Parts: sequence; structure tokens; C-alpha cells
Amino acid sequence: MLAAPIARVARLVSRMFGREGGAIPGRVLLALSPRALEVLARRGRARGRRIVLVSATNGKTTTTALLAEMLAAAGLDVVHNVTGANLRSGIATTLLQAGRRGDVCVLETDEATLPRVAPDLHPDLIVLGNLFRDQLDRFGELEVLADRWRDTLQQLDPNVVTVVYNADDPLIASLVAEQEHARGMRTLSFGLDDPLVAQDSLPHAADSRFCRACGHALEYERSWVGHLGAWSCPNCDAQRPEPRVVVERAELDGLAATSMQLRLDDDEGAVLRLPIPGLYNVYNALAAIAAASLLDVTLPVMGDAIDSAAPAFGRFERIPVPGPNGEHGTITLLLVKNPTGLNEVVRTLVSSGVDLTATLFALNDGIADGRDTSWIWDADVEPLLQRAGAMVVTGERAAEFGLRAIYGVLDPDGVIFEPDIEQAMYRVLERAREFTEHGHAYALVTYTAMLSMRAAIAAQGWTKSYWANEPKKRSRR
Amino acid sequence: MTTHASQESSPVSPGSRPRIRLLHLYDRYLNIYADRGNIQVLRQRAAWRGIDVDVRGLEPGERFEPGDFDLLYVGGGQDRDQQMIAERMASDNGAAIRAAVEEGTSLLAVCGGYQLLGSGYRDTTGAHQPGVGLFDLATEAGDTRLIGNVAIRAELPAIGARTGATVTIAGFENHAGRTTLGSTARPFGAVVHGNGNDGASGLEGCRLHHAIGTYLHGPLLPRNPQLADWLLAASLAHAHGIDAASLIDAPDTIPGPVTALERRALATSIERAKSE
Repeated sequence: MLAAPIARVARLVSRMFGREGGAIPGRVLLALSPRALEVLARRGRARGRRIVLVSATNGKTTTTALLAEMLAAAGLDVVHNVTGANLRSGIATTLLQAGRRGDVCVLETDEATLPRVAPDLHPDLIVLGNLFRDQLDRFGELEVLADRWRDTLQQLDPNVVTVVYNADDPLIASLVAEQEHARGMRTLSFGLDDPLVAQDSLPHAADSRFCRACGHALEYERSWVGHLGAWSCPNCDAQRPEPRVVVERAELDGLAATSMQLRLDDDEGAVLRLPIPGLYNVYNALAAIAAASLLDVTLPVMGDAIDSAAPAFGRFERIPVPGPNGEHGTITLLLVKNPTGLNEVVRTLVSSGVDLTATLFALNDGIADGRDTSWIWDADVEPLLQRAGAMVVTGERAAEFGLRAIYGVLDPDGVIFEPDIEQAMYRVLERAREFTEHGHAYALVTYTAMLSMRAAIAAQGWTKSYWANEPKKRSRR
Repeated sequence: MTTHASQESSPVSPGSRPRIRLLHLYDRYLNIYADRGNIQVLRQRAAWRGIDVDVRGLEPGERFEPGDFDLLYVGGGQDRDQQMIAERMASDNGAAIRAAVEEGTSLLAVCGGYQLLGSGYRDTTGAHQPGVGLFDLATEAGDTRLIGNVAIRAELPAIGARTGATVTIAGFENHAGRTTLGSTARPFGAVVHGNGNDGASGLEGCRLHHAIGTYLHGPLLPRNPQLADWLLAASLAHAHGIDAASLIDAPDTIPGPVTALERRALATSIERAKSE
């Protein structure tokens, strides 16, 4: 009964905005028809279109992109929120503009938004990657978010949804276990099992160190990224579920690629090459592979799709930069937004062995960056500072990072303070030309700082502005 | 189990470096909001003046002796951690914290740690976390979180011959708790921009002798070096006698770039608080 007016509203909004992406068309649609998500999802389902929601604190953009690549390689018509518009409005825009198109919708979903969209969308698959301490000024603490995710799963029909989840994250694994036992929910676990790339100890920023069932401190046989690892509770019987999709060996080849020895459900195995560096991206690939396996994508197809994957927006994205004398250098953009993400970027850079003499850190405190900059103190940036020896610091809160660096380990004269992001970029490129053999510069940037730097890069014409379609991240509140 | 440090308050002997004994209570549990940044700042600013800071942590089940430390630090925790620690701290070490502050030990407590030093914390379900009873204040959860940059004016009193000052302090607050000061409590500062204790009274934090409790993190000390130095001065007075407080004011000890960055960080913080 309500469907007809929504269809008319949807047509109207579509006509108003044409192919414009981002949040606004969806916001208008939802203002006019609050039930639009539910109706659009149901109509798609009636035509056989499936919905996959991908959520995590870190890696959801990369996971979504990898999964979409694999599904497309398998010949499916894939709808996904390419713009990274992962709030309720962005998801509404994606569904609106997909119209009747698509065999499958892969939707990157902000972790605080997941509870606000999943019950309306009735997803076929829900992919839960990790929960780390993120911008606390936005979410409140981690436990609150975990409780909301539990309530979300509780509202989903166990006959419809399958939950793909990270067995190595105790908070997520415990949530899912509750659903498995109480409601018979179908699940597929993924995880790592390579002792050679384990962390020496849990980092300072490790978040979920207590048993969700009984509150006792967890024990780790091994850990790989933040609090992700082979965990167990010494007090009750909670422990990491055996991961069914597992990487048994991850060999990191500098910043170029990672070779992954993969096993699916104890039988099928393969070695895949992931051309994006960092152990945390192995987790993202695992999440995508596990989800794809449930959507009937074969291993060879997955392998080919992953092999040709490109880094997502600002995730180890290397941009060529012409020098004044015709020589070429590069600047690599590394998005950072929370302690665990920053730890992993630092670890990947340092362990790759690349020359880090020309390094920049850009700290802004917009809503999309996190207004509270205290997270930079919870990350272990010392190994990077030690290797870099000096660092260009920039952005609206550059002084905060400068102090962080000095109170860490950097000589006070090693802070090259330049609050203007464009000027700072020239400074770091100059350092790369002067002091490094190959002219490679590395820029660790928060979200809005990255947008500013990209604008400067585009204005120089150093690269075709293929990110012109990327919208500004809009207010998250 | 009882922790022991050997040294009682004594003058700095010739040829040896002054030393501050810092206890970070329940450091593995109360460490959210970059508490370790505050500790790093205390340690490094002391080192620049030729002063050592020995940092010790405390595990649940351990007790400490009031005379064994010159500076106590209590940070904030995530909900579950804080719940678990609240009872241990009050029952195992409440008396020691009160006695230590009474005899001149300095203390900094931030956010959750601040709440736990009052009479306790009542959450929205009515559950009560017991407090240490150091500060005369009570905290109840409100319906909303008070979040944002905040600036206050605070008095840092004289310590012996070291002169006092009234300074602007800035930080970031993020708390559901509404803290009400009792009749004997003195606030740490007056809110200039932001919410403070309850978003209504215009008061922020609490100070008793050389103990400060506050909602301001960010972390607090990197951008408020005057407060860091006041805490160190008070700790030196406790460790080595009242005249030692001015050791922290040794001229030309802070590297120039640090002072410039501190000024900038504080100014931006105040600017943010003002515009929110």
C-alpha cells in the first residue's frame, strides 16, 4: 500500500538529481519517504537481487572494493557504493540510482550506521570485519557499539541472513556465537593462522581484551593486528572459533604485494597474490573471499580478481610526481584515522624496508577526521619517527602531532612545521628529491587532510583526476 | 601484595639527580584518551631539567603505601574496564590515596579517573560504581554525552617560594557523567567555553591540596605545559622538600621548537572551544 507513493517519490528524486552520487539524493528520498530503504531493498529482492552489508572499524572500503571486483569477475552485475558514501543517506542514494539493475548489492556500511540500516535492508550476507577504538567523540565507547551490533543481529531473520565474521576479533566472534547458539544463525568465520607474522605482544592500543561472556582478561596464543588473534578466556569456555576461511602463510613483499596461502573449509587451497601491502589488508581480503565463496565465486576467479586489485582511495595509493628536471618521484597517500590503523600503517612502512627520509603527517580535526586528536598518542609511531629522523607535520592540528613526535622520540629540530597542507607537500617532495635515491615521499593523512592534498595534486595536473567522482565526506552527525 | 619504593622525602644530595616517584594506578585498565601522553610529558619535561621520573604501574589486587610515591596518576577506562576497577580501587587503595594527598602527594586524575575519586558514579540503569572519596563530589550519568573542546581559567597556587598563576587550560571533554561538587569542594577551574563538570554550573574539575581531577583530556598536558610543570613542582616538593619545587623552573631547559608548538597547540585548542 505504501509502495506506490514511494515509487513515485523515488522517480521524482531520481529526476531531480540525475546521476549525482553522494548523500544528498538519498537524504531527500529518506526525508520524503522514511521507509524507502525497506521498499527499495524488497523490490530488488523480488527480482532476485541479493544484498551484502560490509562493516568494520578499519578496512570496510577495501573489503567492499575487493568483494565487488570478485563478484564482477564472476560475471555478476554488481551495485555498490563506489563513492564511499557509507551512511544511511549514501546507501539510499546507491539503491535509488541502481533502479532495477543488479544481481547483487555490496554496501560498505559505517559501523554506527549498521544498526540503522540492516533491519530495513534484510541483507543476505553481513560481513563483520573488526571493531577497534575509533573516534570516540562520535561513537561513545566500543562496548556500546558492540551492544548495538548485537541488537542488530537479534533483529535479523536467521533464515535469511548469513554472517561472515572475523574469528580473530573476540568482540565480534562472541556476538556472533551468541546468535549461533540462541537462534541457529548461519555463519562463516575467517581468520589468520601464520605464526611468522604474529606481533611480539599486544600493542598499547589493543581494545577488546576482556571476555564478553564473563569479563575475565583474555589470553592470546598469538595476535596479528591490534587485538585480532588466537584468543581464549582462561575463566570460561569462550575461545576463538576455528576459522573456516584461513590464510596459513602471509609473505609480505615490501610495499608491493602480499602472497597469501589460503585454505577454504579444510579442503580447497590456493596461493593468491594481493597487490596491496600490509597484514591488515590480508584480513580485508579474507573477509571478501569468505563472502564471495558464499556467493558461488570460484577460487581461480577470486585469485584473478584480487591480483588486479588497486588500492582504494588513499590506501597506499602511489601517485607519480614529475620533478623539475624531468625525473620522476612519487608520493604515497596513507589514510590514517585511529590508533590501530595508524599502528598498521607504521608497521607496514617500517617492515617494508623503504627509505622513509621524506615523510609527512597531516592532522586535521574535522568531524570526518575525529575532532578529538588524542588518538595519535595511543598509536605506536616511534618506529616510524626513528626511521624517518625528521618529519614534515601539517594540517590544522599540526602542532599536536609535532608535540607527539617530540615527546615520543624525535629530536625537536626534526619537526618540520608547515601548517599549510599544500606547502607541506612541496616540502616533503623536496626532501624526497634531495635526500632519497628514488624520490619517494610518504604522506600519512587524516581524511579531510587527504582531500586537501588531493586537490593540490590535481591542481598540479600530476595525475588525471580520476577521483573527481569522490565526493567530500559530509557531516557524520 | 604491597608495592614498595625505598625513598622517603629527602633533600637532593649533592651529585645525585632529583627523582620523582610516579604511580600510574591500574595502568593496564585506566588508559583511554591518551593517558600515556600525559605520563610521557611529565617524564620528558622532568628529564629536560635533569630530573628523573620513575613510573610504576599498579595491578588489581596490589596495594600501595601512601608515602612511597610523589605523584599519583588515575586515567579513564572504557566502561567495562572502569566498572571492574572501581571496586578494587576504592576497597584496596582508597585509604592510601586519601592519606597520600593529605600529606602532600600530588595527583592528576582525568575523566573516568576523576569520577572515581569522588563518592562514586551512578549510571543510567541506577547501578553504582563506588568511589574513593578523595574529592567531595558525586557523579550521575546524564542522558547525553558532553563532547567537545573546552577552555577553562584555573588557579595554580604557589608552592613554597614558587609563585602561583591563573592560567587558561584547554582540552577535549567526552563524558556522560554530570559531576556535582559538595560544599567543601573547590573546583579546578571556571569554564570559559565548553561544558565542564555538568554543563550548567560553569565549574570544571576539582582541586584538593596538590590533587587535581578534571574532565579535560586531549591529552591534557602536552598543550598545557604550565599545568605539567606545576604538577612536577608539587611532586618535587613532596620528594625533596618545599625548596625543590623551583627546580622545575630552571631557565633555558625546554627546547625552543617545543615551546613554539605548545603555544600553537594551546591557541588552536582555545580557538576550537570558542567556536563550538
